[in-house]
Amino acid sequence: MSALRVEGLVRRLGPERRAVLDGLALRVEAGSVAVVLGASGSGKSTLLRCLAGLEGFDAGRVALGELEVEPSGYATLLGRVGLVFQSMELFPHLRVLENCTLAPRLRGESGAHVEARRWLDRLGLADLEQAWPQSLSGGERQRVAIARALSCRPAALLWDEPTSALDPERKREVAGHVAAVRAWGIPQVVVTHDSELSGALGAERYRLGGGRLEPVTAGTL
Amino acid sequence: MSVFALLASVTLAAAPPELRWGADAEGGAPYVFEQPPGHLRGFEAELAQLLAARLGRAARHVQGPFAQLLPLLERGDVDVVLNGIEATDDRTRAYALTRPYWAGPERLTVRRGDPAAPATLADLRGRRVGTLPGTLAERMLRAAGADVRTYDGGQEDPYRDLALGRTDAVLLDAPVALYYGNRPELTTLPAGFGELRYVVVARASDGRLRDALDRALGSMIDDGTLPALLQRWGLWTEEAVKVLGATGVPSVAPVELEAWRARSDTGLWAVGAGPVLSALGRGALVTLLLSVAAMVLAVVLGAALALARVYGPRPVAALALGYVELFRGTPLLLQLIVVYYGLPELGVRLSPFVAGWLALGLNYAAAEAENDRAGLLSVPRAQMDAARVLGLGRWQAVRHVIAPQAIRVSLPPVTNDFIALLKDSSLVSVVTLTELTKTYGTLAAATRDHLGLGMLVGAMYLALGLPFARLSRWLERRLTAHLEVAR
Repeated sequence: MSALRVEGLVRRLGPERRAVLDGLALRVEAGSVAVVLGASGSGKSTLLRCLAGLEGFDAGRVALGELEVEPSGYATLLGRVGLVFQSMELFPHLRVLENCTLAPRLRGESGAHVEARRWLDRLGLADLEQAWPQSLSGGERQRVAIARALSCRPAALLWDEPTSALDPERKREVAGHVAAVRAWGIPQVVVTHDSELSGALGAERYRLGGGRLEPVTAGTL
Repeated sequence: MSVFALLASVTLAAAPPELRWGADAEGGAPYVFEQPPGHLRGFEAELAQLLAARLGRAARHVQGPFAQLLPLLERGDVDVVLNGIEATDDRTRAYALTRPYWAGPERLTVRRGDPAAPATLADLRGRRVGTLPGTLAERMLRAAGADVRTYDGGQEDPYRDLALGRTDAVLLDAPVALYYGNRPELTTLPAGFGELRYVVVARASDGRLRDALDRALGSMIDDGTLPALLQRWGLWTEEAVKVLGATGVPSVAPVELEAWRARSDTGLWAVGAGPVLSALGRGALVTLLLSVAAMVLAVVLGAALALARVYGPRPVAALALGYVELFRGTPLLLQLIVVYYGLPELGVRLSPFVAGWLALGLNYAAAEAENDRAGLLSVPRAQMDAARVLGLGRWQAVRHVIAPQAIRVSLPPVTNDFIALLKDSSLVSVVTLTELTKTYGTLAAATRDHLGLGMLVGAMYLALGLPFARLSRWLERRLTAHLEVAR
């Protein structure tokens, strides 16, 4: 497995071309987790969208192991970086297993089912592979979203506010999921404002402000 | 099968020996009408046969709405129009007109025993008077200052309204008054007004055909064929003697007029259920084939337009929006007439079925595009992001993630649209297609049963639409089955 590296990332938005991300740098090793904290409007979702390939950036680069992505080729990140959406965004017209196999199948990967079942199994969803997303609980949906992302063998996994859509008792499970993915050797970035989660993860923490990431020590939180 | 016959007839239209004559069979007796249904009768139907025979050609009737007969002639769908067309100065300039084949007056019909009934043209000032549009009678009424009511539906309607007291009088050509004004509650004044001359109309460029028809008419007058024909229909008038240049009254009885009056009280079923039902069946088949074909076009084109509007690059989206606004914002009838009668000016001559199919399909595509657009916009934007992050291309995401969800919103209105299209397909009679409503009009004119036949035809429309309503409910249930689980 390989690291996720971000160097000098600049993203300008709006008519005034304000730099929401202003030379941002980040390095997450395989099997490591970076927690990104920040007030709303600080550019957290812009960062995630840039890293996932949903939005372009104006300068800098994103590297996934050997692959180095420049501003002009930002879309090559699509399909290589997993993203667990705050609202999960499962496909309501597809069953759980089909949610996980759609993308690999369209890429023509043989064994899409085998790979998907492996992740569903590991996340304790083996019995639910024929269920419709609407029939699942919030926690189950999140696990399907994780399995769907991992079934595409991403080089990194991003989380957008993973506890915000969950019941209080389910929130604690999220740290367990992040830990499990960590054990599988995938670099992860968790964007959250949930201090309980960030504490439970025991990972490196950064605060996004002024378009850059600053490391957070226990004392400054 | 009549549809295929229509399609085939267009490709074979170049064969010269046919004399294609245009007339509206819905107009009725004694000109051109169907009795029994599917069998053409009338003094003009006979005249067309005789004229064609003298020209060494085969007569073929082309059905068209009365108001569109001259446009059909200009379009080249018919060689001549032979349907009670009066010789006027305007027409003399624009077309090649033959010598008259009939001449006679306009006649005034009033309610029997009405003390205020008008008796002269001067009496008509300010009175409600019924007539047919675009006729000499209409021009005379306007000149007399009457409150003119015109009827598009057929020759019976003005007299029906007069009998019901909705108008005070009807002024129409003598043959119409003779055949339709002859009701117990009405009386037609013996004095005639003005003088009408019916002529065969050919294109201005077709002077040779007109000359040949003139010679044929001349020979038919000389050998007594035309006077005898007119007399059999009760149409031999003093004016005809004078204008046609014939002599004496032919020694035949007005058998056709007598036959018409003898059957005038018979209803729908006296004609025989077989011919009525087979005529309605043919009409229903045209309606169904046309509607289904047009809906397929509308759904496919509508989906493409909606995708272009929502996901296309800006110029493509703008074009799609322009299309929708244009076709949604203008009347379907206008579009039909432009496609059929207007496009030939650009060298595009479509067969009636193709023109009807295109106009209906292009028009309804605008409605389907709006349905589909609403469906596409109902899917949360983040679904597209989720699909893209998994590595799906833009169109793959639309095809596999967005469209399957959008269709749940887009589908239910499609049924409504299909039923609306089924009804709007009745407009294609302006491009000479005889579909269900036109068949009704023709049959009702022939059988004089508007009510019973109307209910029967209404039931047929319901029966045509019902299976599609059920199909859509079934599809809707299938598509939303997984959403029920959550409740």
